[in-house]
Amino acid sequence: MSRPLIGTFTALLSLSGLATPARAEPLEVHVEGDAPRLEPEGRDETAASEVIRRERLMASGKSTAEVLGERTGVQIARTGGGSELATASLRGASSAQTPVYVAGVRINDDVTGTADLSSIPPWMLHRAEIYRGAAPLAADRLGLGGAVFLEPLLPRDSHVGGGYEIGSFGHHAAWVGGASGRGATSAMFSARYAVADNDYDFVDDRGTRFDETDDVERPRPNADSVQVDTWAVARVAHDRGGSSTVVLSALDREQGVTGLAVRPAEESRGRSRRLLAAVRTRALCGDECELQLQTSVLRTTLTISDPRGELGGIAALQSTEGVRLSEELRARIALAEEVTVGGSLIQSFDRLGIDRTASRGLRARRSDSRLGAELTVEPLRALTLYGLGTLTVDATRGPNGDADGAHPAGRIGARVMPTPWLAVFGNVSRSVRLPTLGERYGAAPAVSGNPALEEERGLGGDLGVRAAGSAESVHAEVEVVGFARWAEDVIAFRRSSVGSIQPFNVEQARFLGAEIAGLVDALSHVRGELALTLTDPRRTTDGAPQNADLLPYQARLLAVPSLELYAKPALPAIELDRASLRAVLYHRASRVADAAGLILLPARTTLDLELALELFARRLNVHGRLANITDDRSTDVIGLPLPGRAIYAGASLWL
Amino acid sequence: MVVRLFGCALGCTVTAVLGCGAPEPPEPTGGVDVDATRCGRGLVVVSTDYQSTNVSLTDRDGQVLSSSFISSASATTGLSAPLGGDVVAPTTVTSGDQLVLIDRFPAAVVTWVDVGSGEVTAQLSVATGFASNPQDYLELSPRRALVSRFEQNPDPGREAFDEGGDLLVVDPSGPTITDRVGLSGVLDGLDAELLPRPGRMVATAERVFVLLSVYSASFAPGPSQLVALSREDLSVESVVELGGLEGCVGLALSPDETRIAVSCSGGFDGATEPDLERSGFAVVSVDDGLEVTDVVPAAGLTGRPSAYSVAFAADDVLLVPTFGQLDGTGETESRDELIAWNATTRQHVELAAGEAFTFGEVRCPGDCGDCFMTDAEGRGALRQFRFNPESGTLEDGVRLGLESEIDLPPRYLGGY
Repeated sequence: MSRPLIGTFTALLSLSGLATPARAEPLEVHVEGDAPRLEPEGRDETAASEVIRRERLMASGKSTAEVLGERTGVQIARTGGGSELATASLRGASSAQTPVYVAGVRINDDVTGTADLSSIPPWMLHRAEIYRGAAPLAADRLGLGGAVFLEPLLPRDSHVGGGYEIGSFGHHAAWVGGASGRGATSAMFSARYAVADNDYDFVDDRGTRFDETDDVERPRPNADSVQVDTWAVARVAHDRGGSSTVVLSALDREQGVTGLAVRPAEESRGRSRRLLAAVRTRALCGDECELQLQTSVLRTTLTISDPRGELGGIAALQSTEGVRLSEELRARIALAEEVTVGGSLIQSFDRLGIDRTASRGLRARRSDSRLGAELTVEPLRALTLYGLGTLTVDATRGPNGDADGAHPAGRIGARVMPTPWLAVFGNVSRSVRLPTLGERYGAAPAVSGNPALEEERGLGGDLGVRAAGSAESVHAEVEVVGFARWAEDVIAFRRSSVGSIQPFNVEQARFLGAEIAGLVDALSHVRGELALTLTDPRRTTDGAPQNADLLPYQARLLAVPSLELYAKPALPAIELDRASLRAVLYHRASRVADAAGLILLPARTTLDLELALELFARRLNVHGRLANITDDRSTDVIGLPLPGRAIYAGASLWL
Repeated sequence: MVVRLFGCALGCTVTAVLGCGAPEPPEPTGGVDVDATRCGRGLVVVSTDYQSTNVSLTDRDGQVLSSSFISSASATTGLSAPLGGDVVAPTTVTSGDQLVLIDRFPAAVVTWVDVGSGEVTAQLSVATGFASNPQDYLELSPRRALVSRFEQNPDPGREAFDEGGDLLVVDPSGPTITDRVGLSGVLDGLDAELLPRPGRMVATAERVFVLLSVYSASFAPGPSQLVALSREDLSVESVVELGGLEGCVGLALSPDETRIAVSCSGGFDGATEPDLERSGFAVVSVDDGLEVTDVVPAAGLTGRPSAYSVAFAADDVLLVPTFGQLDGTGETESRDELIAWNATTRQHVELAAGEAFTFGEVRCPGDCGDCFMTDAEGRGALRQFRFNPESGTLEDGVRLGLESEIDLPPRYLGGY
């Protein structure tokens, strides 16, 4: 089906739903915060997946990256405060190899392939789903390390509300929102305004690491930001089942661009804008059949002005625009009680434009079509078998050549539940990452493209055990997963001509690891959690040294234990429904920052204390957080300091 | 059962926390005890993948004496690494027991290291508020040295000596910055957008010579220049344009101190390959004033751009590496070459060829018959070329391994 026809069909389905609001259906399943966390709730029960609910996403002053970073398998890299670039990688895969979806729309850019999590503040997120090692069919890319889905809040009933948050380093955020729901139709709109100075102190060693006498502590300059974030979501339930959902999101952020703190940029500014629109229609085609159509548009722009050349580039002004239009058709049919098949057809068009003063820009585009199929079979009540196959055909066009390719990927998985409290699951997958347009056609004057780039390939598998049990007033869950993955033809930059570097498919890597997640809820007042990730990320490229083959910026150990004390209800007399105090310890082992293993980044250990109060039937939420109580000044990325100790507090009210 | 598993997981956590950090990098191998001679003590070999750096010391024959004299692992990492990925040694050997390293971009730091102990004795930031990108260090006396700074500060006046595009005058005994010599004035008559971009420096008894690459702020190239300054008062005495060559970076003084050779890759103007018509090398007579005696275009030699280094094997024999090129798969399409050019016969011969972008800096310490070049191919090595004064030719000598526990490709050379 051609793209315009699909679009028309989507629109018609949406309109028909709007015109005939009849049988109501549950618009949202709202799960309270204390439900067992390890029950498979994702889209694919054979995958190693985890769902983070809104309660965890709403901690004061906490970024989406920080929330994700507390989970097994996830390593984040922040470059500064909450409004500065933050990326996530899964199981040692790079950020470019980790697709991130917002409302079903992949937000990874087509320059470097990364997804900037700082552009997704968690205030409007309903849940986050993390798929480690294996992505479900809903992902248009089966990322080498998995995939992350961030789903926005959906309207439930009529209410208006607002909130305010204040914190260290000039952090202020205010939001208002309203929702209206009648029968099968509901809509909501919300907007948030946030500013931050991000002028936290850092130790400036002036580049003279051997001489501590000249070290000075000074505030980080030019890191302020102003951000406006708006969301509009509408849902219509159709009279014969199914629904239509429209999501519109716009982000506008103006901020300082600091560069490396040892020589900070003081005049460079950046402005990023993102417009995301998605229309998703779900229709039932019989009792056992479901169709889903989604049309989405994502437009992102980033303009960086560097009037003094402080960023080391050669453009006083650079503007990057990426546009992605995507049409998706999905179907899922239960052929029998034990057999379900699914299919998807996705057609996407990407366009990348880079303009800069004083040097040549870039115009490149991509068209890719993906055909996917999945099969779920339950031959026994305790056994689920799963198979997923995709074929992506892409064609890119750019200034120095065209490239076409077909990229098969797939996964087989299984889950066995010998008892109701124990599940064993495993997967073997082949995944690919397509080169970005920036990699194929050059993202900067000294960074040439390479149209001959092939896909990055990953072959991996995992095996896990998930168990849950209760005894009297104690409930416990644990998940242990081991994984292995080999990556081939990984893209790395090498010098290719006198004045430029160029990407080539030259690297290989191997990842072994284990992930342990645990939860104990006792006496209805104490909740302990643990997320432990052990990874052995090795470069296996031919000729790579044997004595220094650890991949840079990958910690071999991440441990995040937390302990929460809560009462529910807490004080009925004052309508305090729930009160909780949670301590989160984050420990990341030391890492190497260079391929030769000479630059050692110290371990990072932080302690956060989070307070949350829910009052008046949860209409009023008050929360506070003492962040980084240990005042750890280590960094995620060398040269880019992170905030030290900080305090945040906020409240939100829904009427 | 589940509670037991949880307990096991907790136990694993404690065990793992204790043992899963990154391995400690190799310890420094310390200083060396070598007497200084006319030919110096030996070579400083800077190995880097442009992320981190390891510095080795060899003897005069290229044999490794200290495989990791100092490196990016020699101190703890903070906001920056102890040594970054852009470290070079000065063109001219520093006297005494101190070895100088220049951490160019973005650190802009000069580091003094004691040869005997391998300990850092002093560091000096020459950033003065911006990424000044220092290129070279030239010692004029125990209390006076020059640091050439490539970058121009677009917003000067906030710190002392923060203009950039200059020579900083440094007192190494402090170390402190004491003065600066601006070089913008020497470009009078050229496009006003062009900046001097000072780089390598050499000195004779009377004069200091500074090579200016000459690029605009947006890296539009201009004709490179050689500037002669009075060693006494650092006043500009003369300036010469290098035959229209652009992107000049390599600089060497002949053993008899009558000639200077300059190698030029050609300028970049938004392209990834330099302008071959403006690439090559030039020879300048510095006997009396500055006079360009030879301009040898790269197009007439190997057809590939001259690289960033040049050395005199003898008063009339030059060594010049040229750049190769990779194809779309990362394989060598054009090989790096090292050529020897005879100033008397105007003839050249190919001394060595290798994979693209593996040949680095070439040095011939002290007119003592041996020349060395870094070769990053394979595990990396020093290539030694012995000059035969009777035939006036060089022989391709041995490939000397660097025997380092640290696996970084050698790129730059210096002396000590």
